[in-house]
Amino acid sequence: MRKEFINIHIKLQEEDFDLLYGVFFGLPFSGIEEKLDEVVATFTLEFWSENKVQLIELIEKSGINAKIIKEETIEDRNWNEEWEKKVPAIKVNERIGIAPEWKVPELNTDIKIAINPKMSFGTGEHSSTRLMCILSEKIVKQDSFWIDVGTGTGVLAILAVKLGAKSVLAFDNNYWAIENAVENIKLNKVESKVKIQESDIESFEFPDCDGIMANLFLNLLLPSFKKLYTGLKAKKGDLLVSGILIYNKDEIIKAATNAGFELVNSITEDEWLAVHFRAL
Amino acid sequence: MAKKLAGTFKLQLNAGEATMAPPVGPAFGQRGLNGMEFVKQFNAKTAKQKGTILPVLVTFFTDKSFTFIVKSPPASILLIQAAGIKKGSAESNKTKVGNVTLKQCEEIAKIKMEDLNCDSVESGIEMVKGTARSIGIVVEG
Repeated sequence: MRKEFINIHIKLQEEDFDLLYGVFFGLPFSGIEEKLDEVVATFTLEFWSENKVQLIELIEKSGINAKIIKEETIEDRNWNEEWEKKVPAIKVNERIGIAPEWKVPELNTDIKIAINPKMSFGTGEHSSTRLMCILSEKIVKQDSFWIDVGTGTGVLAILAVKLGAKSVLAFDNNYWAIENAVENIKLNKVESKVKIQESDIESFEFPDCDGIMANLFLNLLLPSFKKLYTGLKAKKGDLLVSGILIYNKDEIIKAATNAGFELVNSITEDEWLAVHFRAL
Repeated sequence: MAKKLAGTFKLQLNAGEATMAPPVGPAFGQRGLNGMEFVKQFNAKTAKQKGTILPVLVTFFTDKSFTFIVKSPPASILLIQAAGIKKGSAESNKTKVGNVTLKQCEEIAKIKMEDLNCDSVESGIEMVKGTARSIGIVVEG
């Protein structure tokens, strides 16, 4: 379900911004934009509606000369739309290419993946997606069953099928990603082999599988290795991870090995890292 | 040829937890920039600082590329963390919520020197002490 947000415009002197952040610290705002003698704090509409009175009191009593001058409801929409119109065709390597539907003819690769992005991650522009594609190409076997964690546009799930996987279960906790992955899976005519589910890692029950692909963030990966291991233990399956920087390599390897994985291989592009682990 | 500067904007975001939800989505989207790229980069680069708020200065160019600098957390947040409390006082003139030492103020001043409008560590310490008072934190010593 799409969320609604509210921008709270607060007028105050720039030298008092810091004090306001001290008062706001710990509140579940999604971010703040600083303007000239004004900060715009964004909350979910639900949180603001439930806590408005207390929050206004918090600002008024703080002793900071701050005043709310505008409340502006914002409906969530595809903010990345303008950029997405210009997404280029990406040749990952000689075999794999990714492009928006209207640029697929520009690809001269064996595997052509059509991705019409909609505020979801995985267009092939980012190093971590390309690294995951390169690892997948070597690891995904015929008739295997894979799980794609944080599927985004669905690009890696689609690739797994095109590389021979029998089926893929892909999930994401973001409603934009779910909507977009479903569209892209249809676009690539692999809907009979890819199932999409809305879930986060914590609440997802991993079935036994041959491999898991997870292009996430360091903070999500580190506490998740034990959970990922539950899906791979039975078949001593493969785990491909990315979305992490080369500087965090030792930390990732340590967390994975502590959870029961062995390091197989790692590859890099610029400062981005992708790692192949195998469940012991 | 050097890129042509189009503008800058500044956000305060939770470290390692940026999403395309406002304000990131609109801030990048209305300027035609790739917000998804920013989210991936910001979260990777600030993962280790989870639990704090970080100022981010984004510089963008006419070709729709961008760079960003992550600065140190606001002094008030550093003081709250140094005092081991959850938040500042909503009524600092009445309610004191924690204590920090002068040494801690000095350490914060050194971290914040780049951002503070002052020319010496001593004047930086005075500014940090002022911030502490304003959010109900007592400076000892």
